[in-house]
Amino acid sequence: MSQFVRKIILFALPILFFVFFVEYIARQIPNDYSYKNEYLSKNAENIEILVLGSSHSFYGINPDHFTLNAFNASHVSQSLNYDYFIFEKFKNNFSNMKVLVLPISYFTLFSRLEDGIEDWRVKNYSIYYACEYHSSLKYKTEILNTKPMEIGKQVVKYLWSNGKTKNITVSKLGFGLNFSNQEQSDLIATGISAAKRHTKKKLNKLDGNLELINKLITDSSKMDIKVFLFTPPALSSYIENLNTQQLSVMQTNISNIVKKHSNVEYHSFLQDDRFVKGDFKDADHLNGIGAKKLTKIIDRMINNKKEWVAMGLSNKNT
Amino acid sequence: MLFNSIEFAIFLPVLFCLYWFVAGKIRVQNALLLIASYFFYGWWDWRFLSLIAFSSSVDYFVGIGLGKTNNKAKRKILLLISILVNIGFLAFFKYFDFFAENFYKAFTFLGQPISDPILLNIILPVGISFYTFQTLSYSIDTYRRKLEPTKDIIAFFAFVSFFPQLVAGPIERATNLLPQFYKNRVFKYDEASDGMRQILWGLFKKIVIADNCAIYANDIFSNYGNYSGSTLLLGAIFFAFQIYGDFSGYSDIAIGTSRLFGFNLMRNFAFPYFSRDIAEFWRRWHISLSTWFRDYVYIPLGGSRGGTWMKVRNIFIIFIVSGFWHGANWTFIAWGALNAIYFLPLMLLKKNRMNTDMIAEGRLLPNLKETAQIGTTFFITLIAWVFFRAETVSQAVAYIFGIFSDSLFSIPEVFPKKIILLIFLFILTEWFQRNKQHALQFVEIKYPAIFRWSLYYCVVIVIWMFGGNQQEFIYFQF
Repeated sequence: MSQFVRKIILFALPILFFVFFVEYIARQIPNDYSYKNEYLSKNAENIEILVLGSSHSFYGINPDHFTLNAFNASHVSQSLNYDYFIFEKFKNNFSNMKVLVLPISYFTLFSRLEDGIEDWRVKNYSIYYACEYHSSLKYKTEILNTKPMEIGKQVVKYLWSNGKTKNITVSKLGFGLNFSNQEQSDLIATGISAAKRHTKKKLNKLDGNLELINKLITDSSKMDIKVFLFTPPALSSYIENLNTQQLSVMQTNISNIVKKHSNVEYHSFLQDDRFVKGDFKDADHLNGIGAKKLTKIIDRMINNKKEWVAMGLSNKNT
Repeated sequence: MLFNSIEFAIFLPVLFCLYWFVAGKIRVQNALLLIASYFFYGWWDWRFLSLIAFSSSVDYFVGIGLGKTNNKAKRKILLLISILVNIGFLAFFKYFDFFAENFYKAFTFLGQPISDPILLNIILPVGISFYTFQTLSYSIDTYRRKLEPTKDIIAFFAFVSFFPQLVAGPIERATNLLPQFYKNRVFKYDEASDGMRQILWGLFKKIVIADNCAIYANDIFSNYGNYSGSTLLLGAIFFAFQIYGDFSGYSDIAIGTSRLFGFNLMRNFAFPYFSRDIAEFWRRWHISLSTWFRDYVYIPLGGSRGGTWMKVRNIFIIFIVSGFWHGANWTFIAWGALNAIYFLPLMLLKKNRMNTDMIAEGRLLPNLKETAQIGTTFFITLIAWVFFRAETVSQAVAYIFGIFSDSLFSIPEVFPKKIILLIFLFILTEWFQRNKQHALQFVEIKYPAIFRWSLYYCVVIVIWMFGGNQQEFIYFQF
């Protein structure tokens, strides 16, 4: 028995050592999540516009083009529970925040990060934002969520560069840069596949997400923060393949939210003809040019919103 | 709790230490196994525990009753209670919606429309098909006086819920497993270390073979209309290895884990894809289920005795029931019926026991005839797997027609070289180890420790490097 246990320990020790070593090093490499968490921890009181949401805002809203001090705290596939988490985590420091910008895409009200193929991203919130939504190790480790080749490459690169390698793909203000220098994808094929991916078989996440969004808006209201909701632009290859029922449920619920809260403004850019093919990276994501266009439009809309100006936005703007 | 999860990696060593810490105290060890098994099972959904506890209680008291009476009528009633409760659970949780829906369709089809069926839409308790069959084997064997009824309630409950094989088998016979709970378990180094090797091989099959094949099989089956015949054939091959890696991997982990605790479970797979005919395949695939049906359904029906029609009837019954056991869908029934059709000629020509030995015994490679036999058997099995995997029978038929289209000889649109190479290496390893219980077993030649340890580390590295996305074990849904 003792011989067996001894051999098992002997066999497992190098594996455990290797696992802990890779995990430790992987966590030291700066990435978008650790960067944004650090930025928010240090600069939350200076932020006047906070952008949350998924890849549609990560690649679609460039804070450089807002008149006010803005920061993009969105991440790819970030669902409403993590939007809410980030807002709640830093809300006591958002002393100057005036507007919260949140995309309501076709899928937003019906999805959670944990349910899709992107669930490997959950660990980023656990590790880098200290989010306690999950206790399972599956959601708390790099090694169980990153492809071995990829994590191996990152660790070797980091060690080779004496800890100088960074894995940050965002601008100083949190805007996703990857799409700005990439070639345009097939706009037809990506439209069809994205619409299929975003169409949910069950809309059972709706109630929970509505509760979250209402809480987010109510908390914002208490802090005198306005909420700008928008549906991002997309190309016809995407729009034509959407499920009309899911789209209609989304639109009805957004209308109800707008009616319910006085601090909310909503605008849909889904079929906005100001956005042309050249503004897109793929059928439902803007590129750098499109992001600049969308941000400037939203900026103008925020500044021109008379009721909001009356409620003090103009004073804060100066 | 999944075998391929972090939770289990913590659960197992903790339980192992506690279990052997109380070595020699059988009742304490059994109680510990019982608590651990309920904890393991309750990890999915604690509400399911009431079902397994109730099922165990019924069979325990049925057993006590059978031990007390020699009255034939009373004994039959007691057995009937056990069968009704266990099959009733299965019928309610697994088949209620299926029957309700099909009655509705049948009446509508016959021009007698009835009101919309009431569907329960309840979650199927994990492993219900496995433990109900296991506990039924106890009642039937006690009724047949093959087994003395137990009075040890802890041992009996631990037998029904024994965590390594609780949710996906092997479906153990009470005659084999229950007596092991009465005996003093002694730690055996060779058993335990071979158990560890078997677990490692099971993890490889599940994480590397099954989970990787699942990615491509799922994609091809979901979009079968868009793919060429050659891709569809490849999709069926991926599924064949997915289900084999998944299920036999689970069995290996279950058997290996049991050996760590001093228990020996029956073998469930014996390299089935090296079978030379379908009869041999069924002697090598899901052995615990095939033998269960043989002993408790086929033989009581008359087996292969009687006239031709009786044989035909019994073969169809056993295969169709076996198919239906897998799930409440016509696809499983079609899968069972197809296997019966494959099996029948061998049975009628009395050639079903031609290949009872191991293929190419004492030779490195099979001869041409054997290769052709393996290929043919694998191919017809593949066609049957299409029914097993498809959502509907019509989809399966369309898929098969898709395979046999002009594009069968075109270059497949999907051709993941890495996975195909892994499957090839996997087949090769299994081929050279086909005389063993599992592919990592070294019994005859004692290889140097450095060679063995290097091999184990290689397997661990391959699991880490090439592991697919974690998927639930397929057989959990049954």
